[in-house]
Amino acid sequence: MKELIKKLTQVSAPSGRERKVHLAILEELEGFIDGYRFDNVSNLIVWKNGNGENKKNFIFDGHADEIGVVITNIDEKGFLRIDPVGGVNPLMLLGTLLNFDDVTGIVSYEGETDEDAKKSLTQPSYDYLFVDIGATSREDAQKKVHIGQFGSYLSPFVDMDPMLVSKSMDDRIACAIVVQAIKETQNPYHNIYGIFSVQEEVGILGAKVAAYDIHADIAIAVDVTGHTDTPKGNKRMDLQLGKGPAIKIKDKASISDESVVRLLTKCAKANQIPFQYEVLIYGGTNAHGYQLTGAGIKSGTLSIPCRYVHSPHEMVHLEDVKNAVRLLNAVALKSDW
Amino acid sequence: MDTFAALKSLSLAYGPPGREKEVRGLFKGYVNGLVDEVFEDTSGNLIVKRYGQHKGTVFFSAHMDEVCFLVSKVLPEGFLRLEGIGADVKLLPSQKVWIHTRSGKRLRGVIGMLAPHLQTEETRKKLNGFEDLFVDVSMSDFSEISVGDFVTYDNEPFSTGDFFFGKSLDDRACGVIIVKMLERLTALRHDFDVFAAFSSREEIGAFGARTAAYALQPDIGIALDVTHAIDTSPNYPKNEFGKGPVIAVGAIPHRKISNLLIETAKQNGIPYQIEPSPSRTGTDTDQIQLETVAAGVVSLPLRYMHTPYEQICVKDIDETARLLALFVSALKEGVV
Amino acid sequence: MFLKDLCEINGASGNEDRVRSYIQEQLKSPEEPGQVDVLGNLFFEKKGNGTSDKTILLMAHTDEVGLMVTNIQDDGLLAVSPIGGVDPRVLLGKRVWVGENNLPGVIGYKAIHLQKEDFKTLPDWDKVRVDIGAQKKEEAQKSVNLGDYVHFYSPFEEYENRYVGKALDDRAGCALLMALYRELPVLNHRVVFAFVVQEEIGLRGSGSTLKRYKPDAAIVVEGTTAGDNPELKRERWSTHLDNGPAISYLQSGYALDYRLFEAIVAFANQKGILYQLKGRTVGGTDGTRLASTYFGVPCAGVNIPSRYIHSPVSVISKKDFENTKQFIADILTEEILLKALEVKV
Repeated sequence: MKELIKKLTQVSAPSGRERKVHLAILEELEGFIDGYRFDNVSNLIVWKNGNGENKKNFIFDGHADEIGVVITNIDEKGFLRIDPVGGVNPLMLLGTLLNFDDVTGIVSYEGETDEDAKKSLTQPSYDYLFVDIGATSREDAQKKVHIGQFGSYLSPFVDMDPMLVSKSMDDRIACAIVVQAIKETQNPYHNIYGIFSVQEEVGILGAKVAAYDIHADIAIAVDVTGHTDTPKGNKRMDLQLGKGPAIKIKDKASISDESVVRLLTKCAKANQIPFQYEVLIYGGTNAHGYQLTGAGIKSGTLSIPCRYVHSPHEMVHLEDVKNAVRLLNAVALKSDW
Repeated sequence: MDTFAALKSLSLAYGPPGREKEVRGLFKGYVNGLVDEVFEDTSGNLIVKRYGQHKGTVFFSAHMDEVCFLVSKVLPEGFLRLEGIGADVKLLPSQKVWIHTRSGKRLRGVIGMLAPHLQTEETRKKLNGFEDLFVDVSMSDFSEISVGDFVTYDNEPFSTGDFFFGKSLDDRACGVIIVKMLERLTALRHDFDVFAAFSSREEIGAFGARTAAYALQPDIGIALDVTHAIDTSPNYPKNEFGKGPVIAVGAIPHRKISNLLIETAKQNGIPYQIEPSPSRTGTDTDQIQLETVAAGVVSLPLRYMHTPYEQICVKDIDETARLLALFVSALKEGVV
Repeated sequence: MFLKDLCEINGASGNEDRVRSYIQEQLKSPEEPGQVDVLGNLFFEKKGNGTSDKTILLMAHTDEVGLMVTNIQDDGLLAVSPIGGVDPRVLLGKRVWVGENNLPGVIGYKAIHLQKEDFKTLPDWDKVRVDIGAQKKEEAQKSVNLGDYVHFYSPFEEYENRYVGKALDDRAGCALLMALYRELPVLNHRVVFAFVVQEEIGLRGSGSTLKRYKPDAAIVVEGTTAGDNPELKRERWSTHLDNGPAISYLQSGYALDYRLFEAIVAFANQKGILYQLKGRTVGGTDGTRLASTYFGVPCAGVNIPSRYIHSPVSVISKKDFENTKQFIADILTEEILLKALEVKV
């Protein structure tokens, strides 16, 4: 599974530009699904038919997009200005490499005076940042990039067994989990819809429309969540890497449906899969979009505890990931839901 | 319906957003005999339908869920950390709470605060946030408690004169208004079919109301919610107890609906108050309107919103139910 | 000309009736009288010649930002609260229209002579008060009600290459749609012209177009931010007047459809059409609502740069207006959007 995770996390596909990762996912799933389509806003929806007598429609969702940046301006000297795509703290960009379709950029900041420079560092803002792609002039830059071009972090996949580190574990780890679950579930009881949704990071957009035509019975969004197991980690929450995937109870955008929490709990216990319960005091997932779809779908989130979310180097525990796959398999096979 | 008894049961009932089963059960009982259809939808709303002459549909919603907390971390030796939904952390010191475990047990917890003797100059002035707060559950079998368990205020609701004090009157008191409106409709003719949702999860974004409106596609949709019966700002009029239901007038409430409500009140000598609403109303209506529905908001004045002892005037409940029943019976085909 | 009338009509969010009636009056015909839904959205349908079963939606919003009377003081002054994003600083000492009958009023401000420490502070809504000349509450109540709308006073002005007026966001878009409705020939596909309500208070009208017309793609036309003035560095300008129609690629809540964006830009490049790409990604439009509701609709944003939006004196370029209109007309007649969507992933 490490290769799959590496493949998916290393693709550069910020919100609105998910096609590359969608193609990579379809490549992985070839031969394992009964069909796929792209909806009106380019969500990728794949399905695998179940064979249970009382089969239901289950959605497993991993959002395909990652956070990133977009080029808004190219000045006469060839320096770029950017705006964030999703929640990119400008602090995270200082000293970071960016990738614009294989053109690399370095982020730095303005500082005409010492005071300005200090301000740029202590109160970072996109108004003071620029990107250097090594161009000598506007014309030179325009040969390599253009305004309206989207980019993402450039950062390597690192195997720190049992930990894995890469950019966009949020949410490619979920895409990998859903892909793997579909591959490993040979004979699902229920119809499984794998939705690799778009534009979660800019406002949970894709998940509000992806399920419109599906008539789903439940929707499980798979996403990363925070952590508290580093020095002086948040004292009010409790999320630890290696303790198992987290069954989310609440975050700022949704409260998991009781029936989904119960289903995940039962499947975990019945299959001796370790898990933890999660209350997140910030953030939201695609479960928000599914619970608002049409007349409402019973929704919840299965979370992967993750360190350093929205930084260029996000860390997950491989066992949590594998256990999440096992848990989704168990759900796909559970006849008495 | 015995209003005081209902308010008491509803106030005591357990119903966090997404876990409103007990409250749903109560309302199901209250509407018995008053409606033609009762069912729970996929969002956890309790939907009721009372048919008229099928000349149109009018939809009411009042949310069942209450302000509450969740266990966000379990500490050793019987302490908990909390996350709040809609609550003001300032009210929590010395509050008794109930922790509701996965196995269905209700355990006692107490939110403590350092005695004055042990305080310093600094700690005395400090405003507690959720970060500093803890719940003492050492008196209970706390091994049963896990992250994600819901926590509610303990309270003993009471009435005095015309007033009722208790938790969760936001918005269950408005659910009572719906029931009393339905009672009155049994004695009135109404051309329109009347739908109502005792809705789920308003406190985290009115999801229940949106999905109910999608499923029911009503012509008219009115959210019943509470509003502050106290001076809020120099920019707004004060809503008062005993001066009648508060009708929202503005951008999102459809002009025809607010006019009709005002007309009905005037014609029947029902006192009413106006609440100007330049933008979001902060009620189910914000979501209902998005389903292309002529929407409105009618509010019950309430003090101490989101605290363990909210206050309402019971007479206001009756007057609002009367207004709404008369409004419904006056609706004619093609009114919007 | 439509724009002058449109800008001078008062129609803040929730109060768009007169704007809508004007547009309907101007565009209606026996074959197409225009449709109005319960929220006040207005639709005009231009049927295609039957070759294609597709629908393109063009959208502009009829509402403007404004104020609402939310309290009447004992001294006869009116307390107001904003409808949509209004910075109180643009209102100090300005004239306004109050209520259904457009009573004249003023947002008075304390004389400079009388200010002390308050000279250095900015008022917030608690201090902004509308004076209609009433000296007592009862007097004010004779002509004003709670919930009455208050609009900016701003007579429209036309210059050689500039229009100055209130509500160019988004009456400029409305005027553009109206002109296109009159000027576009019958195309292969249907075009729906949607004049929607309540954009400024949460994109509230646009969602209603979806089930009604099931569009295949949409172009949302806004009077969009410019920021091209000496106080903002050039690199952070949103758009620049006279640089042509402004195409957006990212906005609050939505990265506009990749296929449509690329196709529109390629088309403009190919034909040597003057255009600009927006330099900022803040702010939302109805495109976000259309893409995130029910089954979703892919959207493009082709906008008219506007200075000082959400204030009584906005400014746009006549050339930009004409060029944007022509650009959109060309995009439709060449079926750029539909062709873009046909390409398989």
